[in-house]
Amino acid sequence: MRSFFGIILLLLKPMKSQKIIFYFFITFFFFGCFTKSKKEIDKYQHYIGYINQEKVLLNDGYLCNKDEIYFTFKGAGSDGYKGTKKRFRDTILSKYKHQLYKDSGYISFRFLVNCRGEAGWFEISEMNLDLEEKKLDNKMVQELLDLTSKKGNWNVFGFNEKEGADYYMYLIYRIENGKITEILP
Amino acid sequence: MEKLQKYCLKLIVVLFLITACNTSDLKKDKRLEAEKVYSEAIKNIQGSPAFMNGIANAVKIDPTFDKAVRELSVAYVKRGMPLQWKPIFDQAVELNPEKWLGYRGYLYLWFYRDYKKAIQDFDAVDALTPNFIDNPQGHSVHYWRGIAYLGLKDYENSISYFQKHLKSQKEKLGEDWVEINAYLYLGIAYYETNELEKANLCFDNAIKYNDNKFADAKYYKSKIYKQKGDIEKAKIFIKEALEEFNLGYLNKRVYVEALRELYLDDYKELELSL
Repeated sequence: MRSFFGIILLLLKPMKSQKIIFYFFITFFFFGCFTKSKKEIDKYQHYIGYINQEKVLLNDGYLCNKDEIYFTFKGAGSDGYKGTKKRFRDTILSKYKHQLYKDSGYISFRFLVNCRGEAGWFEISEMNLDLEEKKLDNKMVQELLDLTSKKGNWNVFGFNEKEGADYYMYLIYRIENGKITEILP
Repeated sequence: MEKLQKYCLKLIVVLFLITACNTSDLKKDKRLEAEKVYSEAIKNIQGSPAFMNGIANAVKIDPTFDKAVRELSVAYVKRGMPLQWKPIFDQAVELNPEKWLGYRGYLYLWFYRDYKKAIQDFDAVDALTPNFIDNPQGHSVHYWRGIAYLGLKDYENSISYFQKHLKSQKEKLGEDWVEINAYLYLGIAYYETNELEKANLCFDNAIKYNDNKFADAKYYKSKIYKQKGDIEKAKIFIKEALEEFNLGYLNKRVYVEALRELYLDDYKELELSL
């Protein structure tokens, strides 16, 4: 290392100060360009849909293998419902008290279901009907969170009878004047 | 001091030359370069950091590369993140409306069940290309409008668009090439307007062109016979429908619930009512 700096000093010695400033600027120009593009390359640190287990709601449950979450590609969909989506929809619609609310919009719940069929690790997005961010009635969101997160709703998913697996699930409620008009996807 | 000014001038000239070179290179074949980066990126798992960063780089090279912009949005729609999906897809539509307007309509229809916005997009893309029937996602814009109007329970318009779709498909490809769900959904629209004979004919076609097995169509035929009071025939069709449901001959989609998707409970309820 010392010899490296010795060579640099030897090279710089015959140069005049103006020259040094010139090369200094050139070096920083290229260095700056490189650093900028490196930052942009790293814009996406996680896969799309990644749930940061430390920073979401109801995250105090147990995951069998927090590093191996299934169905991250598109959510578990019909495999996630205990029974069928029809039964889930019937249950939600029979319990949800729409008459208390007037808001319209979409509420998305992205969450994990653990190997025991317990839902948790919820990330919530609230939107208007144009899919733009908008805060909706807190009580309505809370009621839907409570109903959605109930244990009986979700399947235990696994490749054999002994071992269950943790999986990713998402639901979007379309709400018009307080009423659920669609449960998506 | 004079020398410092000289060096500064040199520096400006060098910087100018570098920038000019870059601009001219980018202008020369930035799309080709972006396509190359894009082709490499899509070898990775969709939505993974390598995939997304690669495509973001392609878009950085050529911000008008609409296919890459659109690809950046796909993982968001599949994974339930509409807030992130929409601005990116809108950008793709802005860059190339002829290509992506109909596709956005398709996504509004299936992923967000916003039938009105879907129809707006289908109408808009149709108006952009008046001498051509657009085919977003492999089906004619008439077919998608037929489904969207069915979702809105506007059966008159739904029937009208399915008829247009069937007419053009039959002329172009022949009846046996028509998508069976066009017959199924047209049949449902007729069923809802109580045009039972027309509905029955549509369900027959759906069954015929699906190797005589189609649970959904047989379910509706059972309902029609029940309504007509022919319980024996209704029982035969619901029995066959249940068998074919269990064999997987049914109307289902991969990423979303199909419109009017039927579940085992639906079949059993009808069976019990006979």
